[in-house]
Amino acid sequence: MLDKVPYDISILPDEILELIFEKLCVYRDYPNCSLVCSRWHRLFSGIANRRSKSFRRAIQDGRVRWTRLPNKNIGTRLSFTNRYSHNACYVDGSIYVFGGCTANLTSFNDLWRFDLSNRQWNRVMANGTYPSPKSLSSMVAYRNQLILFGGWSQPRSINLHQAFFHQLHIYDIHSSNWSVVNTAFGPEAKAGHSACVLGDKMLLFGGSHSLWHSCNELWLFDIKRKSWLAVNFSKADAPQPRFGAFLCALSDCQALMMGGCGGANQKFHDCWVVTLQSQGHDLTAIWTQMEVNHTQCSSKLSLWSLNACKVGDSITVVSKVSHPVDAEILARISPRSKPASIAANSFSASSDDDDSLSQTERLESSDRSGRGVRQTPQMRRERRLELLKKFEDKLKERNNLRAVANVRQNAPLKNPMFLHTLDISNIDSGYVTWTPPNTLET
Amino acid sequence: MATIAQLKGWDSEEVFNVDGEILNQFSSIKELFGNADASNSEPLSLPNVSAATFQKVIEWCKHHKDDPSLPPLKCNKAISEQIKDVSDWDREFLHVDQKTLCELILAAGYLGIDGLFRLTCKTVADMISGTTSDENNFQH
Repeated sequence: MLDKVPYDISILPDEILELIFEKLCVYRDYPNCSLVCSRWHRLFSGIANRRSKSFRRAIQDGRVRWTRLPNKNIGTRLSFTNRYSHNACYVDGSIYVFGGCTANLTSFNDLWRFDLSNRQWNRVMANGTYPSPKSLSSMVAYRNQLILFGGWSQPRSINLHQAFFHQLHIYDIHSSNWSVVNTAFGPEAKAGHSACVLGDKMLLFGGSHSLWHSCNELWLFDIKRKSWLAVNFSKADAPQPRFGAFLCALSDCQALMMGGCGGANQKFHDCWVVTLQSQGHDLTAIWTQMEVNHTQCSSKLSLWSLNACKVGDSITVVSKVSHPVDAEILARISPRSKPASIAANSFSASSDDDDSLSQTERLESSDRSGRGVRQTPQMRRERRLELLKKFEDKLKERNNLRAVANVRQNAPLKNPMFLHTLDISNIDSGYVTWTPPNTLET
Repeated sequence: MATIAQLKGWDSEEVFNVDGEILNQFSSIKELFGNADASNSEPLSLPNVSAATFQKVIEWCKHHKDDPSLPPLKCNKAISEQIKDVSDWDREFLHVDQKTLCELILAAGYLGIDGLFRLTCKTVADMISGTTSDENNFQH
């Protein structure tokens, strides 16, 4: 490319250069181009500043437009199964997605990378010790590493305790290698906990370590030394035990915790700030409850297992508005299916129709072999034709169903997702404020 | 169509006779001429456009005189959404060296030819896109 380099581009005035630069891909080209010279650097930082400002303003005002990316890979090796309760992290222009489970609780341990520069999914073929298939774990990004802890999977046997994981895995993005970190001391196996990175440490909060039992423990993992530290705090002035809470870093020693679920009919809407203080070897945490203003904007929101992230001085939550039915369902579910419900609010779940087809197929084949009558070739042929016809009918039915589903997709959504924002700029004064929701346009 | 404007580049005395259809695309200077009969008056010298570049600009405008007017520019959208695809003619037209391309951008910006301006900007952006900083490091 060197010979093609636009030498004369420097004769262009700043405003034209800026127009050109705005057309470049933010994730791939900006870091490269801002290294070219001081003038380019100045222009690029100007554009980046302006863009992030307008993005923050748009988020605050709820002026967001969502576009559905066409998935070219559907049905090929490069498309991944529908799932929920997976983990996702942003690192260096890509989103990494790990694990999760399907509607019938099959868990995964695959890792996918979504490249934001060309908007494409790629399955990452990693080396090393893979984590077990699991969902409801926590994954955070630290420099060029992904740190995965805990999780849950549908138990294969009666031994329910094996369903919870206590392993900590680190994935190195440059060498694409998973490694397991063994520590002598650490938190017990848990799922549905929340994690965030504070400086060189990972903070872990809550989660449940057995069915129907959640905790409010705080743990700190030193990423450089690879060791765990339990964080003490006064139990009197601390949030109640919960899972599925939202946790995000505010500074190197401060984090914000919000929402979560403590069990059936116990959904939390509170908001806390935890401040870590180290005195010698002891690490203590101080919890401060925030006063939440404008709760009418969030009262219908289920603030557990939510999709949220910190954008500037606000927390953005993408959520459905919950219906009273939710609570009923929650109360009715059996303990066995509880972790599934933990995840119900996570990313969209949908049943796998390929699975159901193969199941019917299996049923029919067993039906056929179950016949004890000795079959003549003629009978067999007839039988086969009959089966084929059945399959054709089934396929037709399926296609019809698909068509109906497509129509449904185009129709306005019955229960649309909403974008809520929580203003956290006044955290020092001890209060946070909800702003009214905005329907998401797709 | 009759000539209604006489223009020349800053670097030569060559006079270009521009008809109304083309002049209409020069949104920034078309107002200068109005309905006046310019065929007898002095040719107007364009301070920022060289004769060679102006020749190219007129060639582009002749080819694109029937294009529909473009929607207003949206900075936040990716260029691929703004210009769906570059036609073969345009690609061939812009197969020029960097210097000419930059002069075309300046000329299109100066004359207010929206279509040509976007097209040339996109071409430069495409050149920069996908290169590393070392490859782009042409500065002294």
